[in-house]
Amino acid sequence: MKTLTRRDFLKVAGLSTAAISAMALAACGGKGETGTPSTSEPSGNKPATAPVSDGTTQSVTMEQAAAKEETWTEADADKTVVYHMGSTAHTLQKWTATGGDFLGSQMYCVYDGPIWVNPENFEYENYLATDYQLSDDYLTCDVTIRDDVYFTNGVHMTAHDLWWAMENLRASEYYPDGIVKAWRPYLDSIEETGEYSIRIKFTKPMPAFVANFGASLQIMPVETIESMGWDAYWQCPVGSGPYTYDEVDLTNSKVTLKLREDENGYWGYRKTGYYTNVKYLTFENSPEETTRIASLKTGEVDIIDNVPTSELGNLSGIDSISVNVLPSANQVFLQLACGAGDAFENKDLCRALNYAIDRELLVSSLMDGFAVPSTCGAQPGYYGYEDAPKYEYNLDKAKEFLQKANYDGREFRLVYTLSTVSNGNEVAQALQMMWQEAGINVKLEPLDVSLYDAARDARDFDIVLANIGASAPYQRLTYPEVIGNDKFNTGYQNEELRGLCQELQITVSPEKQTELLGRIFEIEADECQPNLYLYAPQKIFACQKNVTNILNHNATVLDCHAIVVND
Amino acid sequence: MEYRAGGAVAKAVNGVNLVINKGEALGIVGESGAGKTTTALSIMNLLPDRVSFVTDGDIFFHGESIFKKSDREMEHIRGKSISMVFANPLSSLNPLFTVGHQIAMGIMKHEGLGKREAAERTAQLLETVGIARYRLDDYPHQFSGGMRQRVGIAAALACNPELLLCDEPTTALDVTIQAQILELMKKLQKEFSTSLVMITHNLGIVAELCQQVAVMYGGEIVEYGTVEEVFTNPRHWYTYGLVHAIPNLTGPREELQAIPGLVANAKNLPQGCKFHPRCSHCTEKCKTEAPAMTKITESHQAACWVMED
Amino acid sequence: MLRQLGKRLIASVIVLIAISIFSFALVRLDGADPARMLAGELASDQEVEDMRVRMGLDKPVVQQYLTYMNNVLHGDLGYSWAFSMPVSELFAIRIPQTLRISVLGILWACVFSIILGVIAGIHQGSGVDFFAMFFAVVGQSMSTVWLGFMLILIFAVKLGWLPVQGVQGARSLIMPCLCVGFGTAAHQTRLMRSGMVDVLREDYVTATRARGISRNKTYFKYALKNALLPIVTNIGGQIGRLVSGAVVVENIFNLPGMGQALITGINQRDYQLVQSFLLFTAALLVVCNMLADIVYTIIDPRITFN
Repeated sequence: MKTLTRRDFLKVAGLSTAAISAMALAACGGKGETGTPSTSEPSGNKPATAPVSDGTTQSVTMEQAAAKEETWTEADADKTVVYHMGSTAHTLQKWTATGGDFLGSQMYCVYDGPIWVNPENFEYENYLATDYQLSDDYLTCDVTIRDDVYFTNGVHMTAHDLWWAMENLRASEYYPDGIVKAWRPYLDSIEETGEYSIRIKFTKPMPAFVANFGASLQIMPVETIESMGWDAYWQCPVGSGPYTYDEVDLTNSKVTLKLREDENGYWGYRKTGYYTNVKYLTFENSPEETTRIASLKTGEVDIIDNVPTSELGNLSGIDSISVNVLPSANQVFLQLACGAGDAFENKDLCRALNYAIDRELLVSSLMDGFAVPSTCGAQPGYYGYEDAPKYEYNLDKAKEFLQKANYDGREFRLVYTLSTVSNGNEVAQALQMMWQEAGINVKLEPLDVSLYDAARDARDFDIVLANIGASAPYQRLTYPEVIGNDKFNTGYQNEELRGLCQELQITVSPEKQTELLGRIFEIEADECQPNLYLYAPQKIFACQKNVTNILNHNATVLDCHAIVVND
Repeated sequence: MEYRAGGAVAKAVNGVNLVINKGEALGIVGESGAGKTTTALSIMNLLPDRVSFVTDGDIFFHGESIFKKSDREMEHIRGKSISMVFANPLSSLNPLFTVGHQIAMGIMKHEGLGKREAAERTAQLLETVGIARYRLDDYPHQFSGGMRQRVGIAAALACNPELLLCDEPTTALDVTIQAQILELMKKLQKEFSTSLVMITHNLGIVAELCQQVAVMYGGEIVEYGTVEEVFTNPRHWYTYGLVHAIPNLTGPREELQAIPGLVANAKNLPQGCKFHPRCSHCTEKCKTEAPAMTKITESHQAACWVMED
Repeated sequence: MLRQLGKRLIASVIVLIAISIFSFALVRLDGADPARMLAGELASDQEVEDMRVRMGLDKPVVQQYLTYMNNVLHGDLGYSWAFSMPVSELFAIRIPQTLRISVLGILWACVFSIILGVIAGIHQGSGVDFFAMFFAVVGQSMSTVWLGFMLILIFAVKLGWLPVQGVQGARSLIMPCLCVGFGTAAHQTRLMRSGMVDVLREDYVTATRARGISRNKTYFKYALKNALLPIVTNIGGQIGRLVSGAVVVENIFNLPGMGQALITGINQRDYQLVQSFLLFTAALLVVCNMLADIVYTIIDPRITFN
């Protein structure tokens, strides 16, 4: 064998390492411009009354449905769809599950709710319920459900099942207070008033009632639960939806649903005209984003969620894959310390801050366009949006207000933590620069989350960069509580605002809620206190192009109960 | 031959012409670094693979060229016809295998004996070299230096070799053990007619044991002949120096006569006669021309320009 | 020998206690409040407090530690909030998967590195040696994460030969095992090679050849045994690397093993899961090192158990 000298070795080692690195970079690259993928529509400008996607979620028209209904049955389904998610779940009980969307997606497939959000126009409609009536004082609700609904195990659904679900929310050994806090404080009594009807009595008006009165209630056959026993039952729970639990492996967060094969079939398909050809639906956790994306590309997986914006370049341009956007679940916003003696007590100063922020730029440069720049406190399509005044980006006005406020050039402290806003550094720096242009000096203070929480509690800040979960159903709860109760201690002093929020906390009527929210946001937009909303990051999911009719109910989880896989 | 490593070339053996006859004992004498071990290793063609190069010459065993033999053929010769006892008993035995195994490996290979018979032979061999037979299953670290050397000798003798190469077999041992080993060697010569090449820097051993002697310096043989002639009448100045460096046991105390200077460095050998920098009789010719072997008698040669008559 | 073993055991116990204290403190160090995390952002203070009591976090830290250690000694490794099951049960379910890739990983690493290292050592300076050293350097410096993603990119996405992730039969174990063993294989190749080179220089190797033993037998029977010694002790230390490798690899390839559970636990501040995992790994390391030492004394007759 030929002898190689040390010099040769070093030379070749250097060259080959360089070569390998170059190849690796080339392989990982091919990103092109990091911008919106060709398949997705630009964000933010639509009134979002229709799903934001590329037509993947096409729905079946009523004529098509009528024609289909005659010929189609569940037995015709033969496809399998695999959905990989970033979240995990270790129980099938929605109420004890700790966070994440894993179970959320299954709710629509396995259970039904009295009310649902129509995926085509985002309106609340009767689903299981044929009728629900709220009294004028909003303290009573009479609900009547359909008489033709059968659970997947053949049991006929009656009011008793709905009663049982509600009664457990009211008081139950199975659900401790902390986990059903959305319901428990509001429920006074539930009684069955007929074979298919119940009467709910509230302790006080429940603003989020309609929003929560859906599939997540988990209406289940009481007789099955009682005969199997609570723990055994949860190994394989039963609902009235189109799918049943087929294989459940919770330690590995993997669940497979199977289309029901009982003689009754799914009543919902007859009502809406949707149908599916997917016999097996598998939900599985895959923690690494890169792995999820690779699996989608090889075809091992049909749907993935939580696609980071940085990976879009990777996925664009692949004909077989479509990339879609979901409504956001949260808003990134600023809070100002505006109590007596605080830095931002002066409203003109707040306005100056506000006019200097270019939200569109923030979204386009930091979020690759995948966020809705806030034009007011609400998000497009949600309550209060239409009525509220919109933010404006105007540097001159900012300077004007600065002058009016007699700004002396002092430095303000912006406090934030990466635990709540993961790209906090970039956002804070961008804001700092924007304010600099207007002549406002701001110092950035990134903190550890525990220190951050402590600073907020003690109002040890001038400006706070924060993140708040604000998906549609909860907006009615979130804003009134956060603003009305000044949960994060901004110290704002507008009594009218406070009054409005507290009124909202007991308003149930959607119209009144819209009106109130509109006024709340109006005041906030005018005074720019206590909150300045920045943008609502959107979530992205991707799927194989031949997987169609993934529905969305204006929420952050996908409804997979009516998927049609084209060949 | 020369060693080449890292760009440097060490000319280890530059001119050796030797003849060994059956039953004869040849001593090779010289200081460390003279090329003695290299010569021995090359007889068995066991020089380290990548760094050693034979540039010229050949070795003949029973009339056949060693260097032309294939590996397989050499394996039959090594340990069986030609055997070697190594210089450093502390490092020439494998610490992880029993002494018995290391002696028996040659027996099992060359004579095809099974384990049990080989063990019996090994036990006998141990007794021959003066080690209790039950120590067969002990490991090298459980023996003293002298005993280890005896084990090495036993291993070398295992298959009754025709030619035994001994590289400094007694250097690491004390005098009494030395004597025992020499007795053993003599016995072997007598009983089995084993030819012997005894490499040493101890002239006394050579005088005891050998009939012929070759003196090496700088990779060359500078004097060669019978032991009586070379030791009583050394003609090369190096040999002269060696012989007279031994102090007399009897008579008045004299000053020790050392040979000035250092041993020639194989990487940087002097021109002409390799010994010339250290020789008190050096002439101009010595510095430029290397002397050839000159016959002094039928059985005595030396390579020097300035020999006394 | 038994006395030495006893001393060693006591030392090991002390080390384990120290590690348990250390890991106990470590997970609590970042100040995030798991009760708040579990209760949710909009939970009221009372609800967070309730959650805290349920999780046992309201007691003083020292008491929490003592309770935990007491439980551990009775076989109760705590309760995992992230997985809603006892930690020991979670371990029992998840360890087989981790073991599968770890054991296979270390197996291939050993076999490969020994073969390559020996050949490289024998043929020093040749092309094989060159490749071996290159592999050793690159492999030791390579990030497991990068390697994992590169393998997925090449073999799953571009070539389509292997599945990207999950457990789909034997094929899905190939890339994970490769990743897990890679660093160890590289490290050991280097060790094996230099060990072999050193051994081949020894006199006793020449002496063995001088007895007529063939080249191959000399190298692979007589020299190899000597060169293997440092590898044996080294393997004990490699276990640590294997465990951390498994954690990363399981996450990338979505294998439901202990490593993935650990990451989930860390993200959700599941104290007891993380603590128990650390303790378990430490115990594993201690045991493996001790075993390696014992094996070493068996192989090398010169060493007594000291």
